[in-house]
Amino acid sequence: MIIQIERVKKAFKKKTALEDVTLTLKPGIFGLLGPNGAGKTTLMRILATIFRPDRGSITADGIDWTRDAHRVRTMLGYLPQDFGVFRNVTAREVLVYIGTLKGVARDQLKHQVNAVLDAVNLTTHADKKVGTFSGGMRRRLGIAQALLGDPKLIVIDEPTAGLDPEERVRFRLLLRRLAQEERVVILSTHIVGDVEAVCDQLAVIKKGKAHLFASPEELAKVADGQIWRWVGDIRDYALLEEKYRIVSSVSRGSTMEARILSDTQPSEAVEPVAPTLEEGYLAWVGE
Amino acid sequence: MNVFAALFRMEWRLFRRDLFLWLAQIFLLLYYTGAGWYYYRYPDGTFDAGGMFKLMSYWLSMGVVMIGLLAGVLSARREHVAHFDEIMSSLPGDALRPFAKLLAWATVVLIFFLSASVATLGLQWLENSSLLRYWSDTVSYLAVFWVLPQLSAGILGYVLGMLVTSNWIYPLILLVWLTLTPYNGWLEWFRLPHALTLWLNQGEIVYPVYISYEGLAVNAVDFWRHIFLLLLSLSLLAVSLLIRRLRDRTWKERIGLITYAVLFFVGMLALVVKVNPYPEGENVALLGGVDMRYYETMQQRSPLGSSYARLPSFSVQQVVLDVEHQGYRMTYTAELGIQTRGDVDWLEFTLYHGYTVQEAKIGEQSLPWEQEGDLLRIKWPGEKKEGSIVLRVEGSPGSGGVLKPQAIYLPSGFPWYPVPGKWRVAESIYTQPAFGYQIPSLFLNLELEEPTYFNISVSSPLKIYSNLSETGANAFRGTASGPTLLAGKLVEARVNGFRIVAPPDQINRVPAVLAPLQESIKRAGGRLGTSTYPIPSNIFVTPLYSAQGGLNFPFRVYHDELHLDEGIFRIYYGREGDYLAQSRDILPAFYWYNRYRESDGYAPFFLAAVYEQIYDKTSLSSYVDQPMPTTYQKAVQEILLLEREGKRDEAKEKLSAWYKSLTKAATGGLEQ
Repeated sequence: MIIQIERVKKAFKKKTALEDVTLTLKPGIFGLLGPNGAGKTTLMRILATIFRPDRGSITADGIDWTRDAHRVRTMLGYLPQDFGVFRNVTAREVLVYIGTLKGVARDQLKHQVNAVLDAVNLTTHADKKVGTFSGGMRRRLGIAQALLGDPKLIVIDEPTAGLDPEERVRFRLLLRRLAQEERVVILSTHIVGDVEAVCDQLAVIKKGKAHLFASPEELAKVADGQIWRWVGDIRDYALLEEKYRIVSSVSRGSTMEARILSDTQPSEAVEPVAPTLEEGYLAWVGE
Repeated sequence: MNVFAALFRMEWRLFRRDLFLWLAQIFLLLYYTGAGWYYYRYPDGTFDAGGMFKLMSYWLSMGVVMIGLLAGVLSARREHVAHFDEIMSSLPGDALRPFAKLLAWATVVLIFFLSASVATLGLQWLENSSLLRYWSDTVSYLAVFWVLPQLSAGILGYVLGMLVTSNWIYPLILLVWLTLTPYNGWLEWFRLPHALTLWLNQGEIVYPVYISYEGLAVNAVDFWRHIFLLLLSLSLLAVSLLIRRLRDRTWKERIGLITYAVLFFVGMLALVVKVNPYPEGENVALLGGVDMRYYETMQQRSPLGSSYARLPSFSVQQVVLDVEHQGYRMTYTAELGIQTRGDVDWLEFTLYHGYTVQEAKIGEQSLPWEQEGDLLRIKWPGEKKEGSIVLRVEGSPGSGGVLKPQAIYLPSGFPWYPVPGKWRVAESIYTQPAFGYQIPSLFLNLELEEPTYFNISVSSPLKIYSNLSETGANAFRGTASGPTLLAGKLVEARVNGFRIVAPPDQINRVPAVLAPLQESIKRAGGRLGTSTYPIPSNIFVTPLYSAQGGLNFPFRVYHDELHLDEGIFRIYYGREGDYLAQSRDILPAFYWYNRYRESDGYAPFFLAAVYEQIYDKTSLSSYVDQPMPTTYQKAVQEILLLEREGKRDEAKEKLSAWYKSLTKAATGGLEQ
């Protein structure tokens, strides 16, 4: 399935959230990066059929998001950033509920619920009230519900926020596994490491406009020739910080090692280095 | 269908696990049954289920509305508070969710309804209440006064919960609650129409729905009043779903919601246009006030003491009435067998002005007629000496009787049918009670001087009782001074030669009041030096309190009927015999209003007051020097002065003489 987003525009009153967004999403994991307020959540909600675009279209396999919203919902798994569940129902009850709404056949429902519970490591907590869950467990339940119904499209907003490192690794592996099954997984995140770890392609949204990158490496290349490594006395670092945009720094005793984002060579004491994805992203959004 | 079932199951599960909801309802039911039982189970072991219902149901209605509003708010906020709303908006069936919520809420309300029904009927059964025989009325009452307001309040709460997301919701709920209760008169401070407050009121309006005479009278208007709020709530629900949404609605959804909103709103408006939320027939105060003013005006035109009354110049041999009861109205054809005396041009009848003659005929010949106030004049074909005239009449008895879908009280002394002759129908007494006594009955006794043969059939869904012999279903005939028609939640019993018709919870208490009553009547007659009266054989417990303009007037007596006010059995529970045997009640009923008398209304009460001072040792001395209607001042002061000076025998003789002179002067200028 290939999702074609064509010149999508969405405004709320007079504020334009998305402007002519055109993207092609192929099977695999698609990362969506962008600063706060750039329009990521709006695009995610449009993909989740919560919002309808004011203009433009989204289509996949002949399905139009505006006209066939109901069909889209049956093939969609969505996990919003702000996810919670009623406190006085069990995890299993929630999953059975959502599975039924998604149209999972009754004879497969139990199997699917057990499978997604297992996938997110919640099997032993399946029959406990959600009110007793920790934040991480609730997040995992959110992921589990998004996986129900064997969705062709999974839209996930900040999935790893609140997960401990072990759970994060487990989730990345899960995503990878899902992507192998000809699905489109759209991952909106602030954590560039997640994108770097799992995404095949990505887009960066800035001020409502999206730019597609074929791979994380392509985004990293945006900062080619702009990242400089500086190593020096810790006392000189403060001056450096005032003059240049530091993208990362590490303290090593009395010396500091910093990476500078700059179009020109800041000084003789620096050396050019290959940019990371995060630096590419910063270079892009910093324009 | 699966999607809707899943949505319903989840919504129902959430309601089911809502501890607040069930605890509140359990508390309400415990309060209702517990407090009701405690206060209405009397030391003699009897249980006034009707009284309990009347008082407690009022609070219960208000309680269920509050629970409904709060439950609605919680339901509306549930997804948002749980951060589950965004997920739900992205799932199939989001558009159906409000309907599933509605159905789940209706299920909750249904369970409350069943619990309340079981609690109410169970208590009545345990206490062996006679009200149990009208269990279907109890269930109807609960359905209309508990289920519908709670259902609507739940929807309104949901609407408020969606529209108001701040904590202002709680004062707002209080305000809405006050708007939906009988205490919503404050809305009129803001110049909102009175009718609106009536429509919004989900409790009982001024008149109590439970009157022992009528039983649990849930009529169509009560039902429509609650449907009004349901339609309004559903309309607002559709509007709020349009306004407040996380998900963009499709055009189809928008059109659907607008259609729902408009349809429900139009339905509500149609109700407002078509239905009177407080039918005149229920509004005792309004009817009484209208009649009071009417007869005040009449009295100004024709003052008491002037020659108004006129005996008929004809006699009526028989009266055949074919009555059709139509809720708050009635129509009937009256066939009157007339025999004239001498030359007669116009036949004069007295017919309460609430009734209008539609047609008058003799055989196939139409007769001209005139109606002016309570006077009906029919042109008599001069060449005839006798014949049957047929009148088609339509109307209602105003405050002179009771005519409702659920009850009828048309007393024989009230001209609800054409009474031969020209009579004053009522006196208007518009001053404060004298000597602490109640004001007298407004309506005079217009029983026929000569008993006449009546043949009456009534078409009504109600079982009718009458002083006439029953010859079939709601058919009566016999010779009497007038026909009384009664209907309501009544039963009949024969005890010691008396025929008693009364509400089931009062019928066993009527015989006990008869002995002290008879004793008191006999004693009073002897003291007044007039013939005494036996208690008539027909004893009817009637809504005198809410008809006949009598405030707390406990009974009326007719030739073959004694009408006891049903309120006495509730208000003076256990003491009704003593209350009724009081001279102040006996004298006006048996020795004044037992026949047609005109006075300024004070006469029987001054009479009773002086009587009590002399015989029952009340304290009237302080009133002796106070101004009073001049007609009586001289006589009253003379008698009281004699009594004060210890000349008791002289005072008693004077009282008897005064009574006789009073009654003689009170015939409206006619010979006694």
